[in-house]
Amino acid sequence: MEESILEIRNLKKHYPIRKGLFNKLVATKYVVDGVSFKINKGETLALVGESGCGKSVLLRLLVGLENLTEGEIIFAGKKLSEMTALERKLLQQKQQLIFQDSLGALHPRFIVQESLEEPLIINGMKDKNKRLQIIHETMNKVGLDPKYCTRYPHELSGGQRQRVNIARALVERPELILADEPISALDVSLQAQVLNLLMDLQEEYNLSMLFVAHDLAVVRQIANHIVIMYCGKILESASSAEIYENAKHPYTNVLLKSAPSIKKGISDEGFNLDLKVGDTPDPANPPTGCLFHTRCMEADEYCMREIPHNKEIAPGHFVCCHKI
Amino acid sequence: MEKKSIKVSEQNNGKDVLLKVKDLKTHFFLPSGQIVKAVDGVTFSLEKGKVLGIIGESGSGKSVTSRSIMRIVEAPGKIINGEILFKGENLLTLPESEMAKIRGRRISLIFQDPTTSFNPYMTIGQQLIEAYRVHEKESENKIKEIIAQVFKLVGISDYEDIVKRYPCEFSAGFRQRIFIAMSMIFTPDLLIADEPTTSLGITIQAEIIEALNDVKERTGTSVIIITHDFGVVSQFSDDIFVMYAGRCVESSPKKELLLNPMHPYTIGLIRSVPLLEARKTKRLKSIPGFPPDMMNLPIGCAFSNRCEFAQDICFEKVPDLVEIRPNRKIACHYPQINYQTNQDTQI
Repeated sequence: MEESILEIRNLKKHYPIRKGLFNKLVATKYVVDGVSFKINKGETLALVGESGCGKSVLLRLLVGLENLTEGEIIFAGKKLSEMTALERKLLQQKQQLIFQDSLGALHPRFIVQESLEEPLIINGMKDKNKRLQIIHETMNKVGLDPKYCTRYPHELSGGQRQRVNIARALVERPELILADEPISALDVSLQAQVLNLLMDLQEEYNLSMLFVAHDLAVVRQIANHIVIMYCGKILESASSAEIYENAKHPYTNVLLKSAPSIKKGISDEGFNLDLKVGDTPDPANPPTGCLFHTRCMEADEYCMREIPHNKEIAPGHFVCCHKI
Repeated sequence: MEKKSIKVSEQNNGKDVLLKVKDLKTHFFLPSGQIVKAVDGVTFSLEKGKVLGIIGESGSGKSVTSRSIMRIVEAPGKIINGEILFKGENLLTLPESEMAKIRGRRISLIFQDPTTSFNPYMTIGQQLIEAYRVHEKESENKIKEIIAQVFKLVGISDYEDIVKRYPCEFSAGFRQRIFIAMSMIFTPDLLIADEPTTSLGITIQAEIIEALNDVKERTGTSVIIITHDFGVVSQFSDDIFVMYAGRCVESSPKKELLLNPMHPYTIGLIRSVPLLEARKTKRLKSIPGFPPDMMNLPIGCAFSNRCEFAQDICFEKVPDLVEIRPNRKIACHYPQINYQTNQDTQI
């Protein structure tokens, strides 16, 4: 069996909504509701879902920026809940985040060098020359000239800033990168560059990656395993090849088909959107039964009533749908 | 609905030209004395009922172009040159009072962010009525009829409930749908959509594009869609106009451009789009380097320092936009005439 670097079991995050004079609990927001998956060493898991499906909250749970409601996070075989404070601190070095908003993620009054140096200082590297050496090395790795060390974030372009963010995540030689839509805010011509860079770095350092995206086309090249999330739950999870060739869940198929593409433009294909007009459900007021039934073309009364359960239709390919 | 504006539709090869932009230049004069040439000589025309897709990266001047057409460029920006012929009438020489009658009535603009396009303190209904009354005096009942029609146009049937609610009660995708409805209350001749789907999720994006397409089909409104997403323009537009650093680098009917792009920048863009259909190859082909700094453009072709085909002349002389084949214009010293998309990528 392959060694897993991160495993999560039945992760839940519910936010209470309180109102009124006595802070009465009026509703609960089921933002992440029973999510399980695992990432093997050196592999990339892509978490795909639309805005509001809870994917960013999930990442925040993983790094401890939010407290769990329920569930278990297991990092390299060790349960997070059983770790000591020191172990947790060491863990923070081993997993690093890359955010979508490259400007917001950097301190506006820190030059690039300070931004990159800070994590090293916090983790007790006292030798300044060694720090600089690591910084320059990492900057070269991410394709940034070390002369940019003295620049402020606003003096850099979006692509360069995102490279700084990637460099900052790498200075501590992490084992796991958690990337929250790292390329979706970048210009088209830069998206491919940064995606390639991430893949190069992954090979070089044998990194594992959790790559969050809202688009299946983007993760085509990078992902080994894909998890489709909708309104806090996983609807389908399978290896990348299975998803692209043998997707079963209606929602996955919508994601695959609805994305506008150059190919459809060439072949004059219209908009064949197999979806009822509507919105992603409100996590504070999720639909009964299957979460997707409000927009699913195949949904019937049974789907509205009964909650579907995960079925393994092929080894490693799980689908959560009544129609399978 | 009545159509009062002057009808001097220009005949061009037997086609009805709705909008013609000639050598438009919008520059920003910064307090520091620097000049940012955000739009620097843009020329294009749009026929009636057609969709023009303007594609470019951030800073390429695509939004400033749309704002110039509406004449809502903010200081220190200034339109310093050019003509914008809308139904044969030059919008740039019109007095502001006349222009105000065209805005929102003959030309509508849809913004990227549906959250900030609405007034948060007014109900949807109040805002739609206000949008109507800016131009026309009409009884509330009559306006309500029109509102029902435009809601139907964008696929919203139960509008009665919606008009009583506030913008914050809707999701981003639905708000954008309502905004499209609002921009259609006078059935304008031209709808400019500036990144209408950029902040939306993928299924919502498809829904909005579909709604725009329906609106166009049913009313015959011409559309200019501005985006950085090649997928969106590929599926929706008839003609594509590629901008880089304030200039047009290539303009062409859609299919020709997709199958046989000639400008190295267009080729690079098409190649670097992640494709669902692609074979799982090792790496994407990307354009090297970074988008240019608009304050400090290279001499010669703005793309020269990122271009794999650049020769000496590219670093010295700005290429002119020339019509290399009928309807195909390109600004490049070394156009790649024989490049075929399907041989190179796995489309």
